[in-house]
Formats: sequence, C-alpha cells, structure tokens
Amino acid sequence: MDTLQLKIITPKKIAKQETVESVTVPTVDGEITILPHHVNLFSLLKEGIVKVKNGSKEEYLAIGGGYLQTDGAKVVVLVSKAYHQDEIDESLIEKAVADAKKIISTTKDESERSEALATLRHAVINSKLLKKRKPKSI
Amino acid sequence: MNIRQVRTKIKSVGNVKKITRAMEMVSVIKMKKAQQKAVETKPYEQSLSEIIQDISAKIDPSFSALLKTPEENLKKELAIVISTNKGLCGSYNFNLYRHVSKNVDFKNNDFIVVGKKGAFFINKMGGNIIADFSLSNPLNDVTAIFKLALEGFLTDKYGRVRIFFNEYISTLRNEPTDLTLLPVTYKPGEEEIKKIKEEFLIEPDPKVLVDQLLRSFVEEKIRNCIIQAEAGEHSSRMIAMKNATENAEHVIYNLTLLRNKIRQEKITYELLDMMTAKESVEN
Repeated sequence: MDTLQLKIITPKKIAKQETVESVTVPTVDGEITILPHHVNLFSLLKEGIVKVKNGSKEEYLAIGGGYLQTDGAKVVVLVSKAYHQDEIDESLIEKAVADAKKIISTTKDESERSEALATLRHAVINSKLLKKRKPKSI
Repeated sequence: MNIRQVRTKIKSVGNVKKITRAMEMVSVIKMKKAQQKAVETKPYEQSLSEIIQDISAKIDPSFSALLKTPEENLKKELAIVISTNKGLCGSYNFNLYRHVSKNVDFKNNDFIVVGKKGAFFINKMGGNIIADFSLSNPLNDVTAIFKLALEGFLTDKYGRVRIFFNEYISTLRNEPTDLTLLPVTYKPGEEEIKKIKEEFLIEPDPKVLVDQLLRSFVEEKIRNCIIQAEAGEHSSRMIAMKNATENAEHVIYNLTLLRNKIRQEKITYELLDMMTAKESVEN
C-alpha cells in the first residue's frame, strides 16, 4: 500500500516525522483528509486536531495555526505549536478554562478579552483531543 | 616595585583570572544552548522557504503588499540592529558597528535596536532610534519588532527594511551581515521553475495565503537572525574570556619571576651587608 511521508514542524522542533497512511487536518475551509497521491496542495490551517492514521493505529495531535503542503508523496505541516495527547494535563486545562471564563466575564479591556478567548479556544481543542483517547488494546 | 607590591599584584591578577575563567564556563554553556536553539529552529525556516520557492510561480506581486517595489523617491530606510546587552565579548560589537556605518546612511535611516551596546553606538552617531528592545528577552519581542517594521513599510514611511546582525558561522567566526527583510525577495533557481510548472492547488485563496505566508516568513527570518546573533555573542565572549584567562596566566608567570628576582636580590644584599660588617669589625 502507498504511504505518505509526514513531517510536522514547529518553530521549536520537529514534532513528528514518520511514514503514515493518511492525515486529517483542519483547514480554514473545513477538515480535509490527505491520502497518498493527493494532488499538489498548499493550504492554510487553523487551530484544531490533526489525526494521523497508520494501519489500525490512530494518533491525535493538537496544533496551532499554520500551513500545509503536500505533493502526494510527502506532507509538510508547518504549525506554531503541536502537542501530543500525553503532553496535555487535564487539570491544567480545566484551570485555564476557568481563568479565561472569569477574565471574559469581568474584563473591559479588549486585548485582554481576545487573549482570554484564544486561551479558551485552545483549551477546548485540548480537551477535545483528550476525549479522543486511543482505544486501549484489549 | 618592591616585593610587597608585586605580591599584591600577583594576587589580584589571580583573582581576575578566576573571574574570567568562570565567565568562560558560563559562556560555554550559554553558547551550547543558543546553538541548540539555532539547530532546532532550522527545519521550520527551511521548509518555509522551500514552500515559498515551490509556489513562487503562482505568486504575483499584486497578491501581497510585502512584495511591492517602493517608489523611487522614497529614500528613507529602516535598519534593525542586533547587538548585545553586555560587553566583554571581544570585537563582536565593533565589527558590527563598522559594518553598519559602512552600509548605512545615518541621515536617511531610522533604527530599531536590540541590545544596549548598539543603542549607545547609534545614539553617538546621531541616528534616530524609533524603538529599543534591549531590556527583555529579544525572542519574545520578535512579533513586536516585525509589526513595527511592517507598519512603517506598508504606510510608505520606509522604502526598505534591513536587519544588521552578526551571522554565526562557527564558534571562531562571526560575520557582520545585512539582510533585506522588506520588500521580500526570492529567487527561484532554473530547475525549480520547471518543477513548479506542475499544477499546484492553493486553498483557500492564493492572495490571502501568500500574504500570510510571507508575513510569517519575514517574522521567522527576524527570529532566526536574533538566535544566530545570540549564539555568536556567547561564542565570541567565550573566546574573549579564554584569551583573557591565558593572558592572566602569562602575567602571573612574569610577575612570579620578578618576585623571585627581587627576593633573591634582597638576600644577596643582606649577605653583602653581613660580609662588609664582619670585615670592618675584624680590621
């Protein structure tokens, strides 16, 4: 079966580099899945969850905004940040959500408000990611 | 110099040596960290410029304001100068100063400075500093620097934005360099042009995307320059301190020789005194 060379790169490090079967990414126009022999594509990504499929194994990563480039054989995902499921702490997310909600309800400053909204959005993505726990092998 | 003075001097040079050695060690660690950072950010920057090359056939200058050629009569330019906050790093800053004064017309330039040393220099030369990002960690300010430069460029205040920094080549070498950040320039090679001719789907809209892409490209470039400058700063400080330590050793060696000589002289004189005294008593 054909495969894709996937590379997820952030300014800090190469978050992931491996051979996979398909990648699902959130673009600004909606979610798309890239399979081998995809037409050359260059697209804008928004914050969300990347699903990486390899055989029966599925993996999820939370990403910040960025770009995607593919030529059918390799996929390059350039994002501002990328987290693996294991790197997220549930209690921290809950705290962040509570803090952000508090700021949104109390503050009058526009920039503070938008910052809090961004935190909230990020936290929601993270908690979504956590819910997508990989099915435990029985 | 008498023997007491020489002894004090040896002690104080010894202390200086201790300090320079400690600073050398600190710089070694900081340099390694900065180098690590430089290596880690490389893939991101590389893929970004690769993508730009790949789609450059589709890029039309009208897509992004970042590509426009400035009007002829717009002489004012903006220079971003990245220097250090602290001294004691050899000729690192001076090489940069020389490069800046050679390539910049101080009357027609505004400056953004990162690093106190550079700020002093520009002030002395009578340059107009519009922003100083010396105080905090410059890596946190990249976005602010970029925004400031972009705003000046888009409002036709500046015809060109350049960045001056010491390019990190190896631990032993830094090269003062300037890069033109805005307008963005790219040169696709011959082979690549052939490759690009193939169909390339750009979603959602090439205009929006290219503009965004170029913005993050320029921002990433600034970040990269700062990281390189930091690695260079620490490596040149390390070398300067290594030289200072070696120098101190040399000075201590010479002073020790002098001390022994003075001591020996003193003994000889005492002996002579005793001899003459003895002889005069006997006679």
